[in-house]
Amino acid sequence: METQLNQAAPDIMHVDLNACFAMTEQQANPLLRGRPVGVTNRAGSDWSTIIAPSYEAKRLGVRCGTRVGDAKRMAPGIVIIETDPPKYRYVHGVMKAIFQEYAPRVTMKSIDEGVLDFRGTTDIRGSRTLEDIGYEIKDRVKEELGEWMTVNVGIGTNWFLAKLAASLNKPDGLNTINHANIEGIYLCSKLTDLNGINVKFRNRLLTWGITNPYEFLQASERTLTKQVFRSINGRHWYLRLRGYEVDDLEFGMRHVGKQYVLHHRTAEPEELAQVLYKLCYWISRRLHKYNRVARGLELTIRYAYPNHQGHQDQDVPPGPTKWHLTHCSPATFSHVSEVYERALWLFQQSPPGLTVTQFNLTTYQLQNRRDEQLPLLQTDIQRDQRIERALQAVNDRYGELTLTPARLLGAEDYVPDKIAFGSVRYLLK
Amino acid sequence: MPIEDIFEPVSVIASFRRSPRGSVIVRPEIMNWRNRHYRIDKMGLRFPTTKGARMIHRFTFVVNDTTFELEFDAEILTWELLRMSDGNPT
Repeated sequence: METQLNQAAPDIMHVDLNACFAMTEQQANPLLRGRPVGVTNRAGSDWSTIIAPSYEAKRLGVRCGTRVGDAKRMAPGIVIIETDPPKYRYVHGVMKAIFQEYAPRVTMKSIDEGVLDFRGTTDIRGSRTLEDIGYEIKDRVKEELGEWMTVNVGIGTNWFLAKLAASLNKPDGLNTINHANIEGIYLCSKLTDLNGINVKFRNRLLTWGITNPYEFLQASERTLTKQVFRSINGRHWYLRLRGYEVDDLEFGMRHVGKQYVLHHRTAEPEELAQVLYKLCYWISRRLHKYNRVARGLELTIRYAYPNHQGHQDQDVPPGPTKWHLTHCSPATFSHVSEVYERALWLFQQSPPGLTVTQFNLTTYQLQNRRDEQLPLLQTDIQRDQRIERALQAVNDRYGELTLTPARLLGAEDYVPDKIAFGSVRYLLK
Repeated sequence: MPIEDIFEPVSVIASFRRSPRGSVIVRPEIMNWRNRHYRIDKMGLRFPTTKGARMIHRFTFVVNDTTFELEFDAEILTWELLRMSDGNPT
């Protein structure tokens, strides 16, 4: 039996900040307003990527992921700025506080977007519509963060449609999608405009003759479940496209990790071990902060091409560009020395002599610290823990890495604080 | 002069007032740096951060054609000029 479009009144609101990092930098520095700006994690290198272009830069073709060198060619005069996490944490905190004044349930989906759930608030809102509240939120963001800050607001019957509505008139739009206009909006949209449909999924849909969101909507549940997706995802898409909620799920913390792109690419093991140690330091800090211990560790390494200092040589065949290895142990770990011991073992298994460009270290199989099983045979664990607690207390008081192990003396490649996209797990200080 | 690091102590006259919603709005008004007064034309952003356990407030603002970034250490009550920029690309 065919499921109809959801006829309920839209009561989910999606709010996202436009080009979050770039707009925040333009708010902070009024001289940058109206000019192309690109925010990157590494301002000194033309090989680093833009993680947030301003709208002015986007109009000139700069996208997330464009290399800084390319961005400079596409947008002459573009101002490249290195990320400044405290600014973005503050903006995130202010937005969340504003949202919580309006809706009983707020879910921050990432650093620059949140979902406000107004279900069950009709009596409290009285005659105020969600559109009224949306415009008020826009004003509040400008009032509390600054006149340059604009947000897109989307209203729908589920998270998916609310996000799609928020993307319709960027920047500074406010749109509602309901059962009356949904088909028209699907007709005017591309498949990749839908949140969750990337190029790979688009190609899969094209294979089955689905060329736009309207045809996606018209596809039967059986076609989506048995043929296109061959899984429960087909049913989820069938319901999602009709405005029924299937995404209102929150997952617990399943891994803690840190990624680092080396400023100074090197194949020198001593230097790489120092960088690795600093990643272990941050991971250990995060595990302690969230009261977790881990059992598994994954190390992923990206390499430059053999002759690489930025250029590919057609005459030299490329070597491995990526390597990874995981290891899961019966004993749990969380202290820096424990994480480092395991990370170093993984690193020692990697192919030697290659120039490393990036480390990605991730702990998994997390459990709460109180469930931790102490090993019977390891006698100095409590001593290590006391030393590390003392070290952390000093660093809590005076700042990160105020006290560092001797092995880091002379280390030049500092691993700075960065903000991860798509996650708000590490935002709270 | 795209971005120039300064890291020098400065004197600041700041105003404190309540917003209609009750929060306190702090705004540097005049900065004295190297015996010269700078009257703030336009505020950019104020945001808090920390240095260890110390609360720090950072302010960005424009004087003439230059953006300045100030830091106020809320524990030892000092102002420091961190950097200045004319907004031009590096």
